[in-house]
Amino acid sequence: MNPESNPLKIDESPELSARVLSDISVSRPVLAFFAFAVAWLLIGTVFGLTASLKFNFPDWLGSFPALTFGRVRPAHLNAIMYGWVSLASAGCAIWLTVRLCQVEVRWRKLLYASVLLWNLGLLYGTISILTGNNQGLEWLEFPRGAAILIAVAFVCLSLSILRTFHARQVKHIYVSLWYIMASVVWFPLLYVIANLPFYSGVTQAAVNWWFAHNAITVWFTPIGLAAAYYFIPKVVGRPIYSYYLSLLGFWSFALFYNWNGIHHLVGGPLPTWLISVSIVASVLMFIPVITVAINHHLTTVGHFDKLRYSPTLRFVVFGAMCYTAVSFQGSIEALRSFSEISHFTHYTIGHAHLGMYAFVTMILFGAIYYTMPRLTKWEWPYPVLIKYHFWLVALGIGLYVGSMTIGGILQGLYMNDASRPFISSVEVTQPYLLARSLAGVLILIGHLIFIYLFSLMILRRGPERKAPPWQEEAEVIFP
Amino acid sequence: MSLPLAGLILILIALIGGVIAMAAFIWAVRTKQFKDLNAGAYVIFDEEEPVGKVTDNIFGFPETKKPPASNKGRGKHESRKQSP
Amino acid sequence: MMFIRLSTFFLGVLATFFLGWAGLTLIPGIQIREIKPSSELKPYTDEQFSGRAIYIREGCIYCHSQQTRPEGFGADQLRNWGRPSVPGDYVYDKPHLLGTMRTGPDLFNIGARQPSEDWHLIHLYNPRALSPGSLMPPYPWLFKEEDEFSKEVHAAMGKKVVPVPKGFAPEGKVIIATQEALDLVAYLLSLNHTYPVE
Ligand code: HEC
Repeated sequence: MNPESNPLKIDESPELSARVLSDISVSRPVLAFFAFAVAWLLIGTVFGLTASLKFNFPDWLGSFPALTFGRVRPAHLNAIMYGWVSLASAGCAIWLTVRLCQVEVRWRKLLYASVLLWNLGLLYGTISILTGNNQGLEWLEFPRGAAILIAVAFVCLSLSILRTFHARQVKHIYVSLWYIMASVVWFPLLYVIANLPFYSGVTQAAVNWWFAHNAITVWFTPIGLAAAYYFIPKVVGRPIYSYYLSLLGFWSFALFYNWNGIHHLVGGPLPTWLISVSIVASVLMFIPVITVAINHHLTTVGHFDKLRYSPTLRFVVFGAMCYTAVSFQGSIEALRSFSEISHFTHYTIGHAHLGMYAFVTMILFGAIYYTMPRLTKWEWPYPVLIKYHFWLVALGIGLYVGSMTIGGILQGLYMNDASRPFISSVEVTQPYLLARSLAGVLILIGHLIFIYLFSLMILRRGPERKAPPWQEEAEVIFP
Repeated sequence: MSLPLAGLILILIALIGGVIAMAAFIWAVRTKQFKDLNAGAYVIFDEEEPVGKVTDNIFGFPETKKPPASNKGRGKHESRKQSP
Repeated sequence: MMFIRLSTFFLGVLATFFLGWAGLTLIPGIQIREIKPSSELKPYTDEQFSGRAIYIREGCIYCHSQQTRPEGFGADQLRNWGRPSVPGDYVYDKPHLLGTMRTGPDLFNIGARQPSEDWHLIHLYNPRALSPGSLMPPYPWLFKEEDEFSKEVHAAMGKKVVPVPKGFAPEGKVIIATQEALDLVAYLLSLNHTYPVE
């Protein structure tokens, strides 16, 4: 065992590089964000699996009001979105910001305040949903009090990140920073505007779906992309293929993605032009998506063998590929002829998980695998468990999306065929819903392994492995 | 202030912002602000982690301690103290 | 230089955001604002309003939509789920409950399609009592179990006895609807937008 017990102290040396210094300066706040994120991941996964099983066994736990499908499902969504994904993204955004600005983090106390308020908001919000106090709007279920807590937490995070950015010591602003800076400005605005109390009727529906889709646009996706733009070139050791493309990608992303949300209301009682605008913008998303896909792919190309050695690269490349996939799927799904079938079905649920899990969550796993050893100065124990984690969740999400896609299309076809009774569209999905629960079990096991490894890292336990090996042995393997 | 009025003002601000952005962009291209743009791609590398260096490959290594195969490229500050 | 470039960056970021906001929520908001409630649409009564709160509390929205689509877009018209809904049908809805999922059928006109209070009560108590193969959850906490022999007494006391089919209620018990169940059904029955609109 290392005689040094304080996990965060390393040799104070005047030669400490800016990179190492900035890592040290944020290790505690980032660890706090990650640790709570992982806790919410477990909570959210259990809710998700419960909700899925309720489709297979509708009377199971049927007499507990707090565990009825209509409460567990929003609890799952909120625990994952505002808990796991948001907290992990926040940790990742802070870490990337200090690294890319090469400074110590500023206003660190605000970050602690942010974690605290965030978790209070999440706890209050989740308990409220389970006890039946719910705003009734998808993605905005949290009661006002919880929403205010989360908004304030987010503003604290934004202020600290913007202040750190302002103090940067670098001349060039790396592309990841564009995405992060944009999203810390966008999301608090979005969240506050969407939570204002003066909408009703169809206007509220428009605001609701503008918000729900834009939460993905302005927060989850940019952080996921920022991480991919950093980790792929950094792990491979090769600069991003085209900086010009990433510039084009960023601005077309900002311009088009903000207009997508209303395709969730296709066929609904809103002005047709509005839905058409959203559909056009959704299709235009091809442009930013292709630029990102080209850039990521051409950076990795020729280095795919490194996926065998690097957990980070494995998760991040998997996520980046799924970003391309989910975006194409989204553009196609927005078309009227396709959404006539897929709208209102489980297909949408599959799409959402391809985005929030296969893309965002996988990239966040990769980011955590990369950052943790630098934060705790302890190498991941048991690499073989990391492999199990990867394969369990990769297979799990594959099965999930596959079954929801096929089940959803069948459901849509049966629903649109008036010669069949409605209930046939329910019955036809049963085997696919069962497969989905199986996928949920695989994912849950993967998460348990991940949480075990993560706890070992925080506690600096497990077999000691040689000082981060990429430091000394990298060149031996990759001459 | 009513919602539509606030909105109109915001649209105006947005449009003005858009025009300024356009102008600034044209100006930036004309005055070759983007000339050294590609240099930005290199800020993620430094002396100890230069281009060409793989920074994560833990699957390639055994779980138990073993003496480092070589000391080449070993960073001074990130190396851990040897255990007794 | 850097300053100009950066402020342009943040301006651009704000501009793209607010453009989307204005286009997707504000302009339609103004357009829809002028819309009057559909002629025969009535505000919710207190009972229906409490029922609506239960609909929200139990998350019916995650399986049921409340919007009917026009001819040629899905089979809503062929299934007789009612004429296409218009913005004027929703003016009293806060929060809106349009929904995005149809694990179960659309409920925009369920009051016209299924006007029986008893049917709804039984269905809420246990959906499979009426629709075998349904995966809708049961809502037993909206009901009370009481001893069988007091049936007439219940009726005399103004309690609503739910005629649950044999085998779905515990032996020797009757199922009494609570006020919450009655409110929810009152709300469901109020979902009737079959009046004509231009
Ligand atoms: C897990 C998804 C789910 C949830 C949650 C759900 N339902 Fe259902 N519902 C269904 C399905 C599936 C059907 C079709 C089969 C049947 O009649 O039970 C249905 C049918 C119905 C029907 C009959 C519709 C018709 O056309 O015959 C009504 C009324 C109804 N549900 C009301 C509700 C209410 C009220 C709630 C909330 C308290 C609710 N449902 C929650 C899935 C759900």
